[in-house]
Amino acid sequence: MGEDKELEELLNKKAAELIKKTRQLQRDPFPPGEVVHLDSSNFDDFISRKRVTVVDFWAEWCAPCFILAPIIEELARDYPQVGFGKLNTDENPEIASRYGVMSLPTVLLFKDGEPVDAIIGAVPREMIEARLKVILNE
Amino acid sequence: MALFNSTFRGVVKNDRLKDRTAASWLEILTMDTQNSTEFLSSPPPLPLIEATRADAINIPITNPTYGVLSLDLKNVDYFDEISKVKEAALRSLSIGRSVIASITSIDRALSAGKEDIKCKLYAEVDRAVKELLNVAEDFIVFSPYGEIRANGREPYGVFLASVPRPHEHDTVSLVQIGRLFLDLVGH
Repeated sequence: MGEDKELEELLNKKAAELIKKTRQLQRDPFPPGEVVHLDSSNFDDFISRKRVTVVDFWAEWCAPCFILAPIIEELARDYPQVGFGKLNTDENPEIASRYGVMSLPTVLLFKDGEPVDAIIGAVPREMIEARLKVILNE
Repeated sequence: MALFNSTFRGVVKNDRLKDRTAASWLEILTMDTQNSTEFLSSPPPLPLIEATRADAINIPITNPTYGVLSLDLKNVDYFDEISKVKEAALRSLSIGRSVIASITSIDRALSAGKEDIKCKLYAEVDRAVKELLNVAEDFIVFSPYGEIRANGREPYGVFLASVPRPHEHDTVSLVQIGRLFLDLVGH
């Protein structure tokens, strides 16, 4: 009887671990309200997960990109229904060239996984927000 | 923003020494990689200062700081530091000297958790920089690292200069800042 109890405890513990692991895998890899760091492994999944997504194409050496970054973070917090991501173009040149990104920063707005608008340069928040609202209201 | 749009701009990258103020500045002033940990008791030979004969003003490699203006970083008021550095730099520039100056107020205030005065400090630094740039022929305005966050300083700092950065599509290193200044002043 003692053996059975010990075995039962062990099985329960294993089951709990399996359930925890499964839940972790199911958790959203792109949490709302945050800017996700994108690369070739998650980019396509990211732009197809939500109806509207925004991607900030940047590089370490691009000074205006650092001006734009906090604006994108603010918008991510204020529009949790929209996916916000950023992609380092030096580390992921193939994705940048897929969308013809030549200048930095470039912000691409996607709808249903397709690019529908592009904003080039370190622009004020209001400009990005206005373009985003047009797409959200469509 | 006016300065940002009208000058050569870039990004300083300092991953390795971003949380070590003195070592960051030593890399600039020796134009060589450094590994020291904190403030020195006395400064080593500083090739950049020797070669350019620049006036060092409030350089945080020692505490009190190093240079023709030396301030105790534990005691000097944030706003006083800005005005003292500005006045000292203006004096040196007025007699034709090159200047290497540092203002630590913003970093010190953020280290002490004083986020509430950050914007006022930035505004004061803006005013001081404007006065200095009206007098200087050439300049490099930079930060050897970014602002303090929860996990230490950001590794990226500003770079604005009257001369192009060394490589268009690359960040600027601390050693490169020293060499750029050396080229600007002439050996």
